[in-house]
Amino acid sequence: MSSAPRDLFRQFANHWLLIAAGIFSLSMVVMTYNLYASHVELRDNADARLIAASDARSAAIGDFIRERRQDVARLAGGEAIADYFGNRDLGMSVKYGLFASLAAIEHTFKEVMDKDRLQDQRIYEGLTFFDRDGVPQVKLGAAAPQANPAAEVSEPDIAIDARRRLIMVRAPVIYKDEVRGAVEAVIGLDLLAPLMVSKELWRPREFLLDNDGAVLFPTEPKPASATALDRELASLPAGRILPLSAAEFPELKGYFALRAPVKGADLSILRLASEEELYGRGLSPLTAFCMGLFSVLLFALALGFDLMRKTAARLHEEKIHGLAFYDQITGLPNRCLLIERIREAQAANARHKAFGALMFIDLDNFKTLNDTLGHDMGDLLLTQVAERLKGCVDRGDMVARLGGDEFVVLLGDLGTRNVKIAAMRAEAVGERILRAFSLDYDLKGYDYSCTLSIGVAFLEPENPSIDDLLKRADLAMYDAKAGGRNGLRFFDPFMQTMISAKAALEADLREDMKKADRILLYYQPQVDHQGKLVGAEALVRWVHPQRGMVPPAEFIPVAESAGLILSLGALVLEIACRQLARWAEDPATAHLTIAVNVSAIQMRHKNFAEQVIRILEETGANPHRLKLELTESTLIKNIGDVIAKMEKLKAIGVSFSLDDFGTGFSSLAYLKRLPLDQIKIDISFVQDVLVDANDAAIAQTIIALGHILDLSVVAEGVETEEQYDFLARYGQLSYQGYLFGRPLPAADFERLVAAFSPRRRTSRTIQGAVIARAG
Amino acid sequence: MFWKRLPGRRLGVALAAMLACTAVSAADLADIKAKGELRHIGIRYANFVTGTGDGFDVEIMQGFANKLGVSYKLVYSDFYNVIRDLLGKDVSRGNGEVTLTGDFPVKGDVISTGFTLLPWRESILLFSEPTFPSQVLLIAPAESDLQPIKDGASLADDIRETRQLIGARSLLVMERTCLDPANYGLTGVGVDLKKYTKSANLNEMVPALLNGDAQLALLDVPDAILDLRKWAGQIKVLGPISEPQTLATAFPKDAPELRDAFNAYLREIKASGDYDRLVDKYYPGIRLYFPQFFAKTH
Repeated sequence: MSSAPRDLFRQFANHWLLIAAGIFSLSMVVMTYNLYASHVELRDNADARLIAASDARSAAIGDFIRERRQDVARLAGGEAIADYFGNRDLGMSVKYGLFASLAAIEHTFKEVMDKDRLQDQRIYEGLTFFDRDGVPQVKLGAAAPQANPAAEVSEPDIAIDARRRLIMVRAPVIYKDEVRGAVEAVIGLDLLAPLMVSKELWRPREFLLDNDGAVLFPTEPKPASATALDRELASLPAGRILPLSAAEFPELKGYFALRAPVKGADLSILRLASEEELYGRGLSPLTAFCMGLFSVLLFALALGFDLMRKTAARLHEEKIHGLAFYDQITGLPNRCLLIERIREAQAANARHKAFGALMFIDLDNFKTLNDTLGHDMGDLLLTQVAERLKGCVDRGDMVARLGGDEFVVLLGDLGTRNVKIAAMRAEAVGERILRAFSLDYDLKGYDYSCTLSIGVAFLEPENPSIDDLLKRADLAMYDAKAGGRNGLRFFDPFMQTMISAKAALEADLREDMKKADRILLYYQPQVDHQGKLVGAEALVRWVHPQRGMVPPAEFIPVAESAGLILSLGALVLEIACRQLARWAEDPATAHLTIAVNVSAIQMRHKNFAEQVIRILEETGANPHRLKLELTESTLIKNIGDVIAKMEKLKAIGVSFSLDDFGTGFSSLAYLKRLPLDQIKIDISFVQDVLVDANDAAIAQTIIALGHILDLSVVAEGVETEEQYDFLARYGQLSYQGYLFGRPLPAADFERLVAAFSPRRRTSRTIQGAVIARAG
Repeated sequence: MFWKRLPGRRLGVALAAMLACTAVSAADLADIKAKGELRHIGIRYANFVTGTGDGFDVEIMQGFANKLGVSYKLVYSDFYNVIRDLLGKDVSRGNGEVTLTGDFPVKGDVISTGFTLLPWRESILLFSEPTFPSQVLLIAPAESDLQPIKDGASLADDIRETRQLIGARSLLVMERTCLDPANYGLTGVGVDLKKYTKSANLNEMVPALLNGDAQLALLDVPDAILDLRKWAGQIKVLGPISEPQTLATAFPKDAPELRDAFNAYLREIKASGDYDRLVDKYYPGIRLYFPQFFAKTH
């Protein structure tokens, strides 16, 4: 349970940058929003204030107008006028009766005119009572200038004369449901001046307009910015603060207008204010938007940065992972990953009891390619091999590279519990691979034919050891190699014993090399063209305590795999030199040479020459009697080094022979450079020299070559007289083979020497009997 | 203490002696001043003497008393007794003659009460310059079938036309007042006169008319101004019955100095505008009716 908060903390730590940026951006946004909101509120307040002030002003004027209308209506509907009409209807004339009503009307008018005041000024400049025909009946003060004042006034109304600056208030006199006349009051417009006085410290330009846009107030000369007031301003929508468009009001660009209509009259209060007067300098929506945008961008930037960081980290991890688990050259999974997969496959198969298989694939002669064409080509081949292999397997299976030229194909699940069917399926895959590899590779224009050796071992649930599995597959592969390459072999249970046997053998060999007389040399006679026994080739033999004689074909690989080749080589040299020293004491054998096979590994050894010299000195053998046989493979690499060593040894009299000549890739140029003394025609040419024209030609050529290069030639594996006769025709060779004798232990060989007489073409039987006895 | 101020003590003593002799008679200026009081006889009539302590004549008299430097006292009377209260003698008229009889207490020094200047009154009283105009009109209830006259070419035509309207109808009159039919040749001409005798209060003429006491009534203009307002829509003026009349303040024949003093005072207030103020206060609109009279005063 405690891991959850820990995970949370880890998450937090991973995204710290993002979180910090997020918080910052969020707070920026909140702040900006608040700022903007408060600015908007300020503006709204300013608007509200303006509207309220305008409304108050228009209400004041509206109230004034309304009171006047009420006054006039009251007068019009008053008793005095009603009495007048009543008396008139009764028929009384003005002289006798109506005068009294008129006097009463005049009295009420006078009262109103005297009493109604606004700030000590008389409101009414004149009150007039008209009858229906527009004839003034009672007139006090000034009258309205127009000629037709009472025409059909059916309701109290207000008229504004902007030019003469008068307000005319009229009310109809309705007596007995009929309009009988009207009362008209004339009020000077300037009376409104007190109402238009502003008490505000800050006052936007304020105007009283009639509906035609004529400015009634202020009466002072208008400021330049107000010259454009006209009907449009008077007809702006009321009650809202509106920005004035530059198109309609060019002189008032940037100004706001608020029109508050006056109730009851064709008047409006118009206020003009510039943006700054109204709102002050503040945050425009654009600025707020930009600020908000900035914080958003910042956040986006942080996000991007964080993402970049994460991606870099991820790529880095992947790279490490790749390095850890994948082969760099081919991109295939490496050994680590393979083993993991094998484990997974084993676990899976354990459940289903199904078979899986592991295929070890070795490229035949890969090392040769590397040595001849170079490592770049070798890598290129590996890459292409990898691709081809991948193409041969299903997606569920895995191709891996173990290293060098070794590939592994893991068939995790063959889908069957039947071993035979499993084998068939695995074989099918193997055949598919082999077929695929029958096509040549194109290595930068160089056609290369690559064959494989495939060893297959099954994933056995009973034995989950991966080491054993790998060993089994490996062995199977070697088996395939040994079986002639370009083939597939299954791990045989018998081979299991071979593993153990091989291990045992290795141990035995190691032991026996320390003991005397376990490692022996057998000597095969070498005869010159005259038939004279000139020497022997020393062949190593191992006398196993239990098994007896272990064939070299078996124990040499064991020595190689056990890493004993060098010691074995040294031992062999030692034994041979000791033998030479012994033979030197006997005149019968003092002339004999011993040819010792030297492996490439030995030759490669830094101190090989010194080692030979030391052994010669220690044993007291005559260097001139020692011949070292090299194979062509020894000579491919580091020829300079080889030559140096050879020269060193040649300097003290050791001679060199080139073994299995014709079977390798060595060039004739090498032959020139090498301080060789002898070349040996490979047995393969000798065996078919009579039946194969090519072999015959080759043999001839080699003999001629030797002659030209002043090298002695030995024909190996001469078994018949006919072969001997054939070869003798082409030159003076030396011979080695069963015809002349089998490899013999030292004692037997010495007897042979004693008994051996030069071979003549006719006297075969004696030697044959001796040989038969010795063999 | 006033008399100490008078020019010449001796004159004063002589005047005092005279006053003592004529104790029963009304006093002249000196006497008033000596007495220190002006007694103003007023009849509750229209707005001249409203009955609530003010009135057109009341204020004029108050001003006059103030001018004289004496105190003012309002003495109420009525049209029957008004002259008797001034002269101390009863008045009787017969065959164009006016006789004073009896002996009664003198209750006041001056009559100022919208008193009409009539010839018979002039024979026994001393009148001041006109203080107010008046005229007598014929009025009828609003529902009356009689229609007001159309303005004629002259006043005489109007009067004649109005008189014709009366016909044989009943006419409410009040004797001894300005609405006395005898003043206007309405007696003995076949007009059905209904004499209102319940009181001498001219205010009651209209209610009586509306009450149905008569079909028509006489009404003077001052009253008419007020009554047309008070009884708006209920009464109508048909036309004039009389020529324009004059109202003035009346003094006893033996108080000429007082009269002169008053005239002086009257001229004074007419010039100063106080007079106009009183006119407009108590009789708004009267100017419209008597433009000529009031034109003089402006």
